[in-house]
Amino acid sequence: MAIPPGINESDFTAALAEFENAVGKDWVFTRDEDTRLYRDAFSPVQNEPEEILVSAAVAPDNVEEVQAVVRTANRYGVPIYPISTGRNLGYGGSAPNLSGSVVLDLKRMNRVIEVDDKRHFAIVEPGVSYFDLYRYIQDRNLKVLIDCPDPGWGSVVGNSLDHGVGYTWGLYRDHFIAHSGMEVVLPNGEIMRTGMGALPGAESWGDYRYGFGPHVDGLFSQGGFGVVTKMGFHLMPEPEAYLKGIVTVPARQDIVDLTAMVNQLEHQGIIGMPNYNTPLAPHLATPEVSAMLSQPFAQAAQELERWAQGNELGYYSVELQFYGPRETVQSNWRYAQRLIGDIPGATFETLHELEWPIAADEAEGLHKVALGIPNLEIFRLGTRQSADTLGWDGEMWFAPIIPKNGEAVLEAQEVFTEAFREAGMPSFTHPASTPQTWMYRAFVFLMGFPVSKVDVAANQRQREMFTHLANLGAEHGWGEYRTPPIFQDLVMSHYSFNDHVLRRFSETLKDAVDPNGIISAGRGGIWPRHLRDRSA
Amino acid sequence: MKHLMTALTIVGLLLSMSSGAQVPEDGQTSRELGILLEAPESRAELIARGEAVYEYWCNACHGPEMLKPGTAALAIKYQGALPAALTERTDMVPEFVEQMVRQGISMMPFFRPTEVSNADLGALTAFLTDNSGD
Ligand SMILES: Cc1cc2nc3c(=O)[nH]c(=O)nc-3n(C[C@H](O)[C@H](O)[C@H](O)COP(=O)(O)OP(=O)(O)OC[C@H]3O[C@@H](n4cnc5c(N)ncnc54)[C@H](O)[C@@H]3O)c2cc1C
Repeated sequence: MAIPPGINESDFTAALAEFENAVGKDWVFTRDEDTRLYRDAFSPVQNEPEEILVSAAVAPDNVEEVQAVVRTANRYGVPIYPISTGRNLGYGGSAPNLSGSVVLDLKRMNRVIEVDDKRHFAIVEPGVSYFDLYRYIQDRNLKVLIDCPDPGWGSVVGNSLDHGVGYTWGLYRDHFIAHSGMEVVLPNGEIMRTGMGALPGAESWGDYRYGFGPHVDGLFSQGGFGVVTKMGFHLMPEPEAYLKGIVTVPARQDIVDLTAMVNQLEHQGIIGMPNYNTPLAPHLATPEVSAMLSQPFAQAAQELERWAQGNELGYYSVELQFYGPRETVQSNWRYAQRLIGDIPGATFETLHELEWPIAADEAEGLHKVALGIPNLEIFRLGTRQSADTLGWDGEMWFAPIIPKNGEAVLEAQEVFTEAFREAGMPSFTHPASTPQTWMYRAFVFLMGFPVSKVDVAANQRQREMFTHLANLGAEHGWGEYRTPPIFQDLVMSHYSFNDHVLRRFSETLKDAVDPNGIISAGRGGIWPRHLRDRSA
Repeated sequence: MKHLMTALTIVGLLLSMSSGAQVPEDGQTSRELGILLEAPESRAELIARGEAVYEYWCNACHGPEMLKPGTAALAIKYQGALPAALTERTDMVPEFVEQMVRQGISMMPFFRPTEVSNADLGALTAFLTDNSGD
């Protein structure tokens, strides 16, 4: 039996017995065949000494059981790590930051407490997946859309607590901002409610997120301050219509005007999520274009642009998505064309027009999450693409935040592409790379690094490059919004203004709220006092 | 679909009998599948439960539509030698299903007993191997 660090065997045995008392024997897992199911399935350190493993897992069914488990853990100093559905693939999966922790698996707590389609909110427990919430809403014919991440199997709560993101309208797709009120079991076992939930008898938990006083909810996201057992979320009312149009522009520099115009649309609430891309994508791997791209950046960029213009392909595209009344989506699309029409050579095409209720076959082949329909189709990315090659075994996401403008995109293209060239590695970026737009007010210059279940050397190379890019990005003022546990200390070290006062402040709070350091030690780069020398 | 509804009704019944699993009074959908802790006695019930587990946990990747990533990947892998959709396979053995669910493969991660319990895995296995030759 694996034992958590800093605990003696008899204390751990006693704690496990108390866990069994609290949740029932069936829901305490200590055998290897069960505990290995809490590894990170996409671990970039798989089968290496650094791989993070767990000593046990405990799966309570309700908040009283969570309290009992937390009290026991606190008494014996057992490190615990709460997960909701534990599908944080690409950012650490179900594995904790501290090897040997006991995972608190909240999957069984899967009650939808309430969905209101007049005030537009939901209150859910951690085990509720996007699929579950969608089904609940569909079965009751409620007129609200959910905003889901690409994989629908994740937890509405867990995704939000790692600052997860989705695909519809403005602030709905920033899942932490979209939350309203939480219930948390604190490290001493007490239950706290935030926002209006703190006021006994208030019925506005799902409506108003701040209540009164300091807004402490942020401590429970990417931090080890408590176990969240319920959360409210604002939902978007089901609109009448959806329209998606695509804009193409011909020149590399056009991204500067294009992003400014799209921001102008988005920040007034005229469009939902814009999807930037390049029409060159299908051609990048051809021998002609890849030879072009292997040159130093400035030359590669110049030739690529000339090639794109010679072939009349366009250089960037952006899909604009309109949600709202039938007439409004049409006139908003016309306005967008008038605005962006100022870019010489811009072209426009209407792609899809739908009205709710959207039948399953109408959504087939579309990006379903933009319509609020959870699914797993994203996993076609990376799975086997030909009979004689295996697909990836997973990926880790490199996700730096850059400013929401074209100048930053141009700079990030160059900085990262040159870094790959200098390292002699095939580049994940190129002079036409475009950012992800999940955050309402920032871009993410996302890259997926492949991980292997068998090729340790390849994983090591990918980790080195990941680390290099994270450091390089930080020199340019770009920092990750989220990262797998093995990089969390590094990323936190980049947020270093005034001698790391942000981290030191969080550590002060951590020591006060969780003096035994039992909850999610190391999460977000914040370690409890007794483990602090672990982080650089 | 009708098939599935029948399955779910049976599941409701099974859950009320099995130890540990709870069905909330208001019948909230998210808990409808619940978690099975003991195998039902009759084979028909077992297979119906297996189908419900399949619909809930597997279908989003392995359904018959070619856009589903598991099905798309298997179509490329087998090149027509075997059906790409799992429900059309007649060659699956229990050990194979168990291994896939508990170990995963390639991009497919493993599933835990808090998701697919051992009893549910047994039911799923019965469902997926039901049409395999002995
Ligand atoms: C192909 C692919 C596509 C992806 N696309 C997206 C996407 O579009 N958007 C996106 O956001 N992500 C995406 N991801 C990343 C990830 O898979 C999802 O964010 C997923 O929803 C996170 O897992 P989860 O919901 O199961 O949360 P969990 O794994 O349960 O939770 C995440 C973390 O939050 C903390 N936590 C969870 N629950 C609690 C609790 N109750 N109390 C305290 N702390 C808690 C823990 O630290 C936990 O590790 C993608 C991943 C892959 C592989």
